[in-house]
Amino acid sequence: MASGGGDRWVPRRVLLRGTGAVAVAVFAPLTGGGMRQAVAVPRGSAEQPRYLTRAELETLRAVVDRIVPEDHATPGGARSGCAEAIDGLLGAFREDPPLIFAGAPFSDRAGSPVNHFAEFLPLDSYEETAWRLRIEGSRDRPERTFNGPVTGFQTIYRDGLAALDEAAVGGRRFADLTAPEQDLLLATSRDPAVTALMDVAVPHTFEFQYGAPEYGGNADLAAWDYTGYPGDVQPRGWTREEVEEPDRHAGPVAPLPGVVPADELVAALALAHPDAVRGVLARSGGLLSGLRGEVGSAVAAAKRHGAVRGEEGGSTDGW
Amino acid sequence: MAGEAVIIGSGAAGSVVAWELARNGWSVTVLERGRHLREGLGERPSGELGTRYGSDEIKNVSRAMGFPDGLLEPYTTRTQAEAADGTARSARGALGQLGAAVGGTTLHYNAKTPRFWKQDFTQLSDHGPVEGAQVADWPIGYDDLEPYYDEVERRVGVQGDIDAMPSRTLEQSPRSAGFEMPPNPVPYVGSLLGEGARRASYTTYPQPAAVNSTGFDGRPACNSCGLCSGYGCPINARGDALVSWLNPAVGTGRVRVIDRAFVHRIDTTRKGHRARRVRYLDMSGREHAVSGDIVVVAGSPINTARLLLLSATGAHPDGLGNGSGQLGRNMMFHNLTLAVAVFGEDVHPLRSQSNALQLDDLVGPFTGPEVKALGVPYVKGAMVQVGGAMPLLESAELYAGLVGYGQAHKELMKAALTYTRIGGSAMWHEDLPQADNRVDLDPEVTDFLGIPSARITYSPHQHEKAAAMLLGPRMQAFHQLAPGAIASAFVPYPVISDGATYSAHLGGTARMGEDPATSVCDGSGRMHEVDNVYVADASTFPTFPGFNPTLTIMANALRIARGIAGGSRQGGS
Repeated sequence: MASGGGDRWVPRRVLLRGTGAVAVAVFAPLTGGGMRQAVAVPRGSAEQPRYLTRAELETLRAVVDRIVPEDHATPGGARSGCAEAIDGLLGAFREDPPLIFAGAPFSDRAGSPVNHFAEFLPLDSYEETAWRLRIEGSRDRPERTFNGPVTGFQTIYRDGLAALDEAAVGGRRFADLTAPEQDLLLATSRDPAVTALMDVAVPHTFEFQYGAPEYGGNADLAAWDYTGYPGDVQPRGWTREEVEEPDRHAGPVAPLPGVVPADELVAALALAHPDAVRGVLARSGGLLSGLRGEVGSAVAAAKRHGAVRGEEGGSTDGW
Repeated sequence: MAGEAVIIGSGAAGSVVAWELARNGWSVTVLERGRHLREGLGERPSGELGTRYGSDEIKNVSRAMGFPDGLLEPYTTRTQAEAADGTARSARGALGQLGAAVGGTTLHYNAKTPRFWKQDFTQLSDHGPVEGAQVADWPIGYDDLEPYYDEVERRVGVQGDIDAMPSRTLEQSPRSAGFEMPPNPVPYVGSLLGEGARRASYTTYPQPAAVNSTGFDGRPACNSCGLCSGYGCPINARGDALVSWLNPAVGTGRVRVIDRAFVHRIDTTRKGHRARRVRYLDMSGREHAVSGDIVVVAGSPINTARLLLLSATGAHPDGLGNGSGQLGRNMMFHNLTLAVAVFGEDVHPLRSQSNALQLDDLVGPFTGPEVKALGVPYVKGAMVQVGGAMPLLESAELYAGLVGYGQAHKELMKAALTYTRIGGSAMWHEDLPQADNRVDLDPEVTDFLGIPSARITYSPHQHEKAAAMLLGPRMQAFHQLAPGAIASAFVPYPVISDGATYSAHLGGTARMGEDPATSVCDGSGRMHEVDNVYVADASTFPTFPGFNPTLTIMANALRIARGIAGGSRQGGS
């Protein structure tokens, strides 16, 4: 794990711009998601969480909104339902079938009259054993400690959320802090409980924000709208013309985002290949700190080997 | 004469063997540690099987349905240097594991089906030894495999365009016929990268793939949704071990498949010359045994080696059939070098059967002074798979690695680059066999049933590092030359990490050869030291050329099975 976490990867101006935007964010009504029907699956609500207490869920809502901040007209993690979806994962086994694998083969967003995703799949005993261990932890049960104790998601969230509330000084809880204060606390905390929380909460929030809405996040498909992502397209798929021809409906493209140096971004885009990302995910253990190390070392190596070129074939300085 | 067979593993190798033995009248038991995921197996035509797969990134990628669980069945890994320092392991978990399901990894493979080349079978004779590697000739040649390639392609249904294939490709992998189906539409981004390749004096052509471009086998044509590798095909447009081999095999009534069967031992006779039975545990830890006239091991290289090592006895003290000391050694992973072009327009690269084009100009071998300067006698690269892109959630994971979380991450997500602005290519390149790249049994870590885990010791050879540094810039060059490209990059994994890249392409650990002193199996797949145990999967491969291996795994398994059954070729059926 070469270059680990910490805030040095995020340019200062980005932090400032990001937090500033959130501080003045106006919660504009969402209008973009109307063309596709989002499906609500049974999940916990703010009033009746599935696993967490109401207070814990409130803290978690604040956390997921720092992971995916609300800005302008696009919702953050909280309004997209990520906190309730995480709570649904923590309490996955309070439903039957458990909320682990959505159904198949199609949602109703691309031509199927039935949304198969909406009904979750029954697990076999192997899958149940694996996901109970991952969520509940080993709990000192001999059949679960064959390789030593496993700390489950439930404990990681409960301890991490408590640590955040404890760290919010001045008689306040984490959710009472301003967004810049929350960002600062998350970025500077050296509490292992907070680190462990963010290691799993960041990937989980991204799953629910950007994955299929049947898992409880991506409310109103807003995340697929602000990313221009078509979502699951089966069984319709794409026509020959849509595959072969330039997209006549595509507008002009924006400049590459300036949130990271262009050469680092282009090097990272070389990793944007399913085969590569599977390796990254495997080696990272799906944890934020692992991802930072994996992508960081690959990008650094590409730069070291001069493996990034701009338009004129030269360096990427200045574009 | 038809007998009874026990096959361990139901993937690309095991399913083919089951089919061939069953049609010759054998009674077959297939033991599979994974789960049944296709409802109706053996009871319905392949076009009517149910599926648990969909275009669902959370299920397929984040939660890895159809894969072994990293907590319940961990592998452990370390580099060669760590092994030399006495480090028992440096990582543990779901480390590059293949799928575990009835039908194996082929349920969610990319289904690209290149053939190996003639030159791959005679590498030691042609180019001599490489220091630090155990390069070997194969005991068979391309000509031995060619009829099986033909037969496998006809059964799984391969699309391609023989007229577009370069002459060297056709010289090195001659074909007696064209393809079952024409290629899928070539994506727009593929046309741009193809033009970049042409400007670099390279040639791209539609990549042969076991993907329907027309109706075939009662299954529909691919509609270019773009979610292939790692995803079960939701519309059943892909030929694989299950739909093409195992389902019809079970349909004969002579094959039974036992899922969630965790095989941990092959028992042998007292002197160790014959296998007596195969023992496995079920989910509750209960012990079962199955006997047969022959045992066919097809667990894929890591698990085949693990099982044979677990089966040590007084007569086979270092693992079953390991008198050569080669069992578990020569573990090969294809190494990964990537390149990307960033375009100044929306090129919608995800609308495509994934990476639809192939480029063979970097296969090699390269032997010029620039190669010698890198410290190796030659460099063999690989075919390049051209035209990659990535869906949304995987992009979010990638950007988390780049910037963490927060507003910077969201800005990257809004920019939509990974499915609108890029065209990427992957080269999974040849890995030379090394004695010290090996699978053994972890001394402490076990699976959930208490059976020792496989431990993988692996580091790339200088050859792989040289290939990445020599060929990565050439990949990048044709990306930069693509019309409309504004930037490009390459990433050479073998020089980034001294560990395994974690490819789904695995070979070695029970290499076949003529000499029992240096190989585990003979050319027929039979173990030199155990008369009725065969290895049928990629464990048998003495070297691991840079082509997606599944077609060759199936062809070689069919060859081995036909040798067992003594049967003849069957055209259609």
